[in-house]
Amino acid sequence: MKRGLNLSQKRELKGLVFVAPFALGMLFFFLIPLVQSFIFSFGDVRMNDALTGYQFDWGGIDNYVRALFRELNFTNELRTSVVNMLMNVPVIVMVSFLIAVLIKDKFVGRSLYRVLFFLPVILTAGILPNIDAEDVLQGLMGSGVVVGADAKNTVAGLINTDQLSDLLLSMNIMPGAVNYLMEAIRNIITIVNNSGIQILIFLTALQTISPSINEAARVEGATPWEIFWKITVPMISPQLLVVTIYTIIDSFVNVNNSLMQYIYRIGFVKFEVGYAASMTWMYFLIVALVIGAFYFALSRFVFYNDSER
Amino acid sequence: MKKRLGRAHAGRVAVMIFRYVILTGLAFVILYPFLIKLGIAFMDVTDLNDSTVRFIPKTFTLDNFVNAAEVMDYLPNLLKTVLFTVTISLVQVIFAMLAAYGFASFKFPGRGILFGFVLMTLIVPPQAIVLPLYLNFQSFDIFGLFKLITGEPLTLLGSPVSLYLLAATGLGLKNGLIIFIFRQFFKGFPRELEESASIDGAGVFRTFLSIIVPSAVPMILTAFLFTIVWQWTDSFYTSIFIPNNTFLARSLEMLVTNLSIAGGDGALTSTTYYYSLLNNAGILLFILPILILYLFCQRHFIESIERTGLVG
Repeated sequence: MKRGLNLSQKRELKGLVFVAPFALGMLFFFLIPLVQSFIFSFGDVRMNDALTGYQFDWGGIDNYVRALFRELNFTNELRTSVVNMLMNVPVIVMVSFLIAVLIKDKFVGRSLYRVLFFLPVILTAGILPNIDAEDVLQGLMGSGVVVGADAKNTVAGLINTDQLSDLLLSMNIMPGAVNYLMEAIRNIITIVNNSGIQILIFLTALQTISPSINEAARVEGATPWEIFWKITVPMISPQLLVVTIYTIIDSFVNVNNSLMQYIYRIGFVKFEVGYAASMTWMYFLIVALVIGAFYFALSRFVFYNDSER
Repeated sequence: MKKRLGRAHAGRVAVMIFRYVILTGLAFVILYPFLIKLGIAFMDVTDLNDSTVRFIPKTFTLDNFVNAAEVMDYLPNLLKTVLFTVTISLVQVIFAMLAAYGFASFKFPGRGILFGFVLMTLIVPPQAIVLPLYLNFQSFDIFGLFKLITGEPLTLLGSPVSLYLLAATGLGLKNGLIIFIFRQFFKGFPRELEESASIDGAGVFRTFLSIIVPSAVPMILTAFLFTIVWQWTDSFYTSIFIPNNTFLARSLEMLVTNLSIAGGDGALTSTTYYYSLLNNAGILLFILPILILYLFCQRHFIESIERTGLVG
């Protein structure tokens, strides 16, 4: 009061203290480099031999014109990325949620399965996919955490999806839905390998739902079906939002994403830093728009225990 | 009555069967590459020339592990990596929690935009900003302060300080996801508990430490696991900011290269196939510590939930 601050203003200040480290880092280690890379995208950058400095030649919107109109790689890969995202994300979210529900309850072998479904988190992280890809014997045995086209062929060799799809079509199920399902089955390796983090987030969220709520609902006569839709789903909806957003992001900027690999090759192998920066920026804007759209669309359905925040 | 019980029983059995079928099927997809690694890692060199051996070795051996460990300088590097990974993950999780709590339970101007930036740090790949960041750390300075005092900007490149700085400011590897997870969790936290704490006279920070943190233990463990895995398997950041590090990720990456430089002492032991045996043993040695950690955490976080069961 002395300083002329009222209670809620004081609280505001305290909130700022909590986010201050992040805000500072944001400015120095993110925004400034980001702006710098934006400037790079309008020209060409050459590092000097000692890697202590660089020379920048202004080139206007040349890089952008090149990526959009003169070379086809960027636009093609971009289309593939968006289509893959739309295909895979709903399946990954559903599959990981299903798995989390299945390994939540007590049953014989639960710990074993929990370890199993954590494995992809490790096996697909950081350097490991690359090391697998370069390994000779793994290559001979047709293994490694295979991704993309390879993974699809592996599955196609194991399962004949034609018969299943014929069966489903003869049952008068919508052809579109059947195709989607078949595509999901062919993608199963990619999907399962990209679900590890999602499963763990869901599992943690499911476990923090107090058992007493479920019990109360059961006493009131709710069926398991009702409990699932009216308690479990709303209670974990905050994490559902995290998982969906993260899955979309991961599908876009994952190291296995072919557009990311293309940009990486241009920037770090061919050292066309400016050109790579221009593509990164366009890609970044598109991804940001998609994420923003999903975030606002989904936020409306998220239930927080306390709605006034 | 009996019939009804019977039906309930049948339902449970059906759920059980469904559960095992789905889980085992998906587990196979996950296990397949892992089993292949296991098979290769335990395979003796002589099996390489045996055309009847495909997946399962005829002669089991631990030699590959011993040799791989030697080339990777396993134990000393393991200690270094554990120390670095654990401390940096702790820093990441602690500061992510602070920021997340700020986002979740305070209203302040610019909150929406700042949180938008959290998501943005996830969208912008590290590759995009690493070059400017590299130059930034090479001559690190905040508003020319260091230059004013010491006459020289600070060189943080090559020292772990740069990575700790990134971790503490929420910009470590995929740090945004950790902030996002915690923010969602804290937002779902019942407000009444916080209020009753403040009525009892606890300040904001006291409330955070004694009410919020204990109830978030499962989330903390999960976040901690993620950061450990990402830091453990990362060599992009570490090799750029600490170029001459000897963390395990680097040792594993260099394993085959180092082997081919050293060369083998026989026709079989200098082939790329032999290197691959060691490489797979190396991969398993590399992920073993994280698996052990997970097993430990897994048990612990189930218990902690059953103990607190606070939320909701």
